[in-house]
Amino acid sequence: MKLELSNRTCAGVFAALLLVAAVFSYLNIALASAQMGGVTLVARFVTGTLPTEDPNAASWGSATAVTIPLSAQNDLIPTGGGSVTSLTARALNNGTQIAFLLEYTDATNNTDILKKETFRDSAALQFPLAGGMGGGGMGMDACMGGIMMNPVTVNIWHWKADWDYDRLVKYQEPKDDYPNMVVDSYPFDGNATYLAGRAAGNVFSQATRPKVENTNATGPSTTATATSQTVVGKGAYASGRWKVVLSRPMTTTTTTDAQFARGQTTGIAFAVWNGGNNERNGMKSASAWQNLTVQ
Amino acid sequence: MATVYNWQLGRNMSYPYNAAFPQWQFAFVFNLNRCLGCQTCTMACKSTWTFARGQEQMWWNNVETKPYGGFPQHWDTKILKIINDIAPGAAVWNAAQVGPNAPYGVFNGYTVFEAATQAGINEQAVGYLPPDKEWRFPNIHEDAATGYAGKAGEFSNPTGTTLPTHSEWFFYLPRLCNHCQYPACVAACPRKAIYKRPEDGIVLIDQSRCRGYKKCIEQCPYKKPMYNPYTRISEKCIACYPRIEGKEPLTGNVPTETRCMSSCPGKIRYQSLAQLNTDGTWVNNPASPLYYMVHVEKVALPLYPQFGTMPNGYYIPPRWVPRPYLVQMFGPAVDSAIAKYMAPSRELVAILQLFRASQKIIYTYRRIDGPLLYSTTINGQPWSLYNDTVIGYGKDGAEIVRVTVEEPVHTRDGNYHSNSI
Repeated sequence: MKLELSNRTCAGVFAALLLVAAVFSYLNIALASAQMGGVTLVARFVTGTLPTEDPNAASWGSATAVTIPLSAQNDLIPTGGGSVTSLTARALNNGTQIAFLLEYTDATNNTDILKKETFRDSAALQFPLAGGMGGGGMGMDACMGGIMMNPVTVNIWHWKADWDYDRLVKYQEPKDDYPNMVVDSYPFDGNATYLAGRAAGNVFSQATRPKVENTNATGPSTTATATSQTVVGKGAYASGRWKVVLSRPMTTTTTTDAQFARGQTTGIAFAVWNGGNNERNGMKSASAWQNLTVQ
Repeated sequence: MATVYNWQLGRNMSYPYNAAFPQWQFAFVFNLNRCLGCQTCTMACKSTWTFARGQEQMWWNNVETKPYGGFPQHWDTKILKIINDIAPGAAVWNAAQVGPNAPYGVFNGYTVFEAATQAGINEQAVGYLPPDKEWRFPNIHEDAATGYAGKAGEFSNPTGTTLPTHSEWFFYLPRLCNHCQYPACVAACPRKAIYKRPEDGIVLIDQSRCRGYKKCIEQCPYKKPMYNPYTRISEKCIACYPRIEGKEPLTGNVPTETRCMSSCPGKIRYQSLAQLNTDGTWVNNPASPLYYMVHVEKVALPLYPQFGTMPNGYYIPPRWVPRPYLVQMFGPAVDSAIAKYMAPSRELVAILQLFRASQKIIYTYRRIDGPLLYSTTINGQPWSLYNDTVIGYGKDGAEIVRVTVEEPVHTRDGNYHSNSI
């Protein structure tokens, strides 16, 4: 069956564009101004090794902190989120590596998503590619990939709290939540054929995953795991607050990766999913595009 | 939202995607009058598809005891309540408006999609996410009948089993994914990871695209997509599609009924594929047992059609159950369906013989007149049973099976004693 999207938001925007040229002009201006938010995050140049997987490193103190306002995603169904109203961002570079530190308040540490009713804490950064930003930031483009009318491909780094736990503590499985559960046997245990997601190559289902998922998206519903996985990072939770590091070499050979150079100013957008508030997919706290200057 | 036609509701309704219909549609008929709750179907499915890590709580097929049981618990009453809270008392049928494309009349209430719009929630459909504890039992409250105002320790009510309906009652409801025409899971998925196959209408979750958001679990009113905590994504009934495609060596690689269907000892299950017109209505073919039961006699009715997803599971309602409960579950055609099942036509008697006559999918049938077996009176009307012969044919028109209404009697050879095997 061929399924065609008939999204009312999308249709409404199209109708406005077609019927009222003046509205289009106005929107265009509004979106253009939204492409560059009021906040500039400077990735300060330092020499030596960056704390690419250490949210508590003292060297983060040399980076200038900026406050990024976040709000609920309200453009595409399912809407929601908004439980984290702002985050503090810092960035460092040493000429070859760039690293970001995000800090935000979250009352619950959600790493267990084994239950049907539980969801992970996670955070993401979005960068434009050479094709531009397409407007919106992470708030207006529900699934993190440019606006609806003219989607452009963006690069998203997505850190997930449960992936950290699986990697650093143990790969969680139902027996961890229900130690008294009884299973007679698992026929063909260990054969990935019978773990459908793993057999299909889904990164979520793998026993070993990247430290941070590198993805690309071109418009809503298109987020896809990138073939190249060079983003690293780690989260640390303490006193009701997440500190999350995301880092990558400034340049890569992958055309769908954002590339960074000293002296460059580009766009950056932020998103946080609060698992304790059942946030996932378009239900998130997100920012508009902000500026990133690589010192 | 697009506007699509839902013939089970007899009207247009809103749905996030434009209507598009498969050429053939996987569909099944369960005769609830015969289900014995043995869970052989459940175990056939379990041992075929859901025996791996992370699938411990999964029962793509289950049999639950109504009215109290449910997997997950109270799945149907919870979604009915959600819709009713949004539009109290609105779930009303106009059974008088029966028409060619409105076999049960017109439903004037809110579907799961329309209720979401009515409530102003920013979701494609209303729903809820049952927590782990509600998925513990494939058949909780097994065999628990409704009570009555009796005495403690008293086991039977003298009037509890008086037909036409029992005052103490329960029945078994076998369930699997209904492979709906307008699936709420497809509507709900923000990833567009769920799709409906054009060749047979089977609804599948793309295991490479799913990111485990659980929106399908939340918004499928039948609660048949399920979360795998080991692979961290969702899975669902795949209608044994290799068998539907004719890749089962056991039957010589012809289209074959699913494992849950073909394992049914109670012979309550019949599964086939309905041929669809381009507008989604069924091709008029009385030689198709599916078409005959669903559209000619209307003896098999969809499960909770008011949800609006156009499910493809059809049920012959259990005749001893109070009608208001059945009308809520199967719509306003319950009375006539039970009346037709109680005094079945010669064609219906013939078709009922094909239930579990073969694992191969029977697409069409033919009845050959046989001699009168006996005559009686049912509900004051004369009724006769004939020993007709029934032939079931496959997709290619080849004969699959030939059975008679009266089961043949085999007499053991006198050389064997009575307990020999």
